[in-house]
Amino acid sequence: MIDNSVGEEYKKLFKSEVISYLDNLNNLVVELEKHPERKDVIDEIFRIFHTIKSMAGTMGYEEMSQLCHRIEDLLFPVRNGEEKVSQNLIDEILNGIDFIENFVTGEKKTINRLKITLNKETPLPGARFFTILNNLKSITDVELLEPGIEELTGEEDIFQFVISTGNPEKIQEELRKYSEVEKVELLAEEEKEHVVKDESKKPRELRVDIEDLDALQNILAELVITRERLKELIKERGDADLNSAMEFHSRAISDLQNIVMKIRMVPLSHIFDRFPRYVRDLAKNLGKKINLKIIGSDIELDRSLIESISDPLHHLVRNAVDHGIEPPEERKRMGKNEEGTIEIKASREKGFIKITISDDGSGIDTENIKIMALKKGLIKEEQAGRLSERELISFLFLPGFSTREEVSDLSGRGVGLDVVREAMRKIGGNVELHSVQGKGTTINLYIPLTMAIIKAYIIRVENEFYAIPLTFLIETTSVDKNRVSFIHGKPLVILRNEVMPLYNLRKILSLKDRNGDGTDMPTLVLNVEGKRFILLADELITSGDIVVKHLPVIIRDIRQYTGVTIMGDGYPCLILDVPNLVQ
Amino acid sequence: MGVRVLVVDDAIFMRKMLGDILRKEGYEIVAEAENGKEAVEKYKELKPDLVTMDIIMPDMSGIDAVKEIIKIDPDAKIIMVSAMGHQTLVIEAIQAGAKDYVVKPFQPSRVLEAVQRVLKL
Repeated sequence: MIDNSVGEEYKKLFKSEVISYLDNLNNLVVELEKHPERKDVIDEIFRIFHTIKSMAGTMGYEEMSQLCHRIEDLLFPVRNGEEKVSQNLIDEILNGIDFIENFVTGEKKTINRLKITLNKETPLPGARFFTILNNLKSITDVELLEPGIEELTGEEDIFQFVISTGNPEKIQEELRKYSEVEKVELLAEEEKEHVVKDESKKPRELRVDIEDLDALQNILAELVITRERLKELIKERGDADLNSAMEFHSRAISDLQNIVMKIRMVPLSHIFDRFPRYVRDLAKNLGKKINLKIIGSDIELDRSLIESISDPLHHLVRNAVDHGIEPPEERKRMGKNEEGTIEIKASREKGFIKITISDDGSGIDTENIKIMALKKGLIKEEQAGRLSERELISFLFLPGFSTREEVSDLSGRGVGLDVVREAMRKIGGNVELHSVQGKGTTINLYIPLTMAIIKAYIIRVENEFYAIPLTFLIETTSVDKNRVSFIHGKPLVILRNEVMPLYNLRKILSLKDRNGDGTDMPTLVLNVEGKRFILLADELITSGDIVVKHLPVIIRDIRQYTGVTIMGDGYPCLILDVPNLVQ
Repeated sequence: MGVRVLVVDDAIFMRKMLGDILRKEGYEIVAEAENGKEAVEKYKELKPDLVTMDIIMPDMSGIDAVKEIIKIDPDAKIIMVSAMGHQTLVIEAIQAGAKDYVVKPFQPSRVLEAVQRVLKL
């Protein structure tokens, strides 16, 4: 039994650790359902439940530990190859996971402390109370607070006990059955144990208010500016001691900056990892067969953006399952594979992160939209014929517009794409929908990089630094000036048997050519939509993570840049819009 | 059909006394056993609704008998019968799966209260 003051700390650790297993566990079970022969998956599920069991046992969470034990028992014959994976087993495990999740993420729980006094004549009062406690535990949640279990089970006579429970009425009712119980007092009325779901979803992390993070970043910007000022002043004084102290200080600020940047970033897996289970449950409810593909979970987004896109994404995925994918019989009739496919894919695009949700379902019936729009008086009869598919689809983004006649309890009525559009608008993103009737629907979400972290290569031209997103970079190399050939006056380089056009960043940026250099030119080999080319810079610096910020309004229209980043030393560094550079 | 009880105690005197208290209230004593081993055998044979189990007996203690019986029937309803001062043993028995206990010397009301409580579980 853990001492109560320490208990809180253990509880938190327990929660965060268990939660860190849950997504994985869900995904494993979904995987097992698809591939019941995967012994490695069974072993892994078994291992996780075993770990949770022993942790729960140590915490004294009997119910949870017993549950894990039961699942181990169920898995055992499957593991030995004596039994096959049954639907029942899958359901049991998923129910178990849900129970554990509810247990550890249970929001706002009112905890009542009850003081129970036994009659002074009660023989073996400790044993009496132990028996009572045992029975109570089978009825509702109860924890013994005082005395410790060792004292309770010792030979000493103790007549007063304090327990905590979320259900004092039930306890009081039960205690009436014991003539040994003299008195039950409710001690503290409401001691709240508040567990915020979001907090616990991020294992081993503190919950931080986004506003605090923003404030931290602003302070950091101030620090960077004053640092530059200090550097200048120290240079003027020419004091070596001050200078070396300043260098340490500088480095510390750079480190701090990196950490703050990192803190804000969360991989999309935070959202994407929930989808296998989510889609599986929805599909099962609706009697559909769905194969879910997820690509790009490792792409990181600013924490606040992750929060803003979670609901719209869930909504779109739910739409795809509910309205997109047809029931198996219908698909069969139409000559499609009985199992529908939904793909969720994240990729880094020019200036955006793009998330695509596509399904090979029924697509959108634009005729139906026309009828609805007429019915709702949004268009007149004579207009109807003239509207393009695109115009018709745009009606779906209107609040309350739904083409579904029947209300499904999943997607509801009219909670439509307008919600998604609004969410995207709030973060400066965009949403785009393509649909082919009978073939499926594709929805693209464009999420701005603002505050998003990207990996980039930093180069120097003249006195300025430029960043090139690594997504475009194939390699860095030096090219011998004498190996440049010209076709129709355009410079080309043959690199590893491939002819590639050479672009000089100086020319693109309207700077003068450099003269009197050596023959080796620092270059980057880049790739845009499958086409390769070579970009010439003055100096190749390094690659690293950068935080992308919007360009100031005055230079926003310059097509060569997608954004700007602040480097460790506080200098701005423009991010090159690679596809636009070479057009 | 009434409630069928198995009374386990090594002393005839105690078995008679407990039996009388229970019979008076309409319970049926289906069998008696004088040690743990016998208790387990009788339990297997008769599947009684309730067992009263002395803790200290020769040839398998009450606690070991509880463990054996729970193995056969996890829902078995067993009430321990203990002497004063055997708190740790009682708790051990409860942990092993006994549902309640009474302490010698008996007060009939206490015995009946425990029996009724356990039967309602």
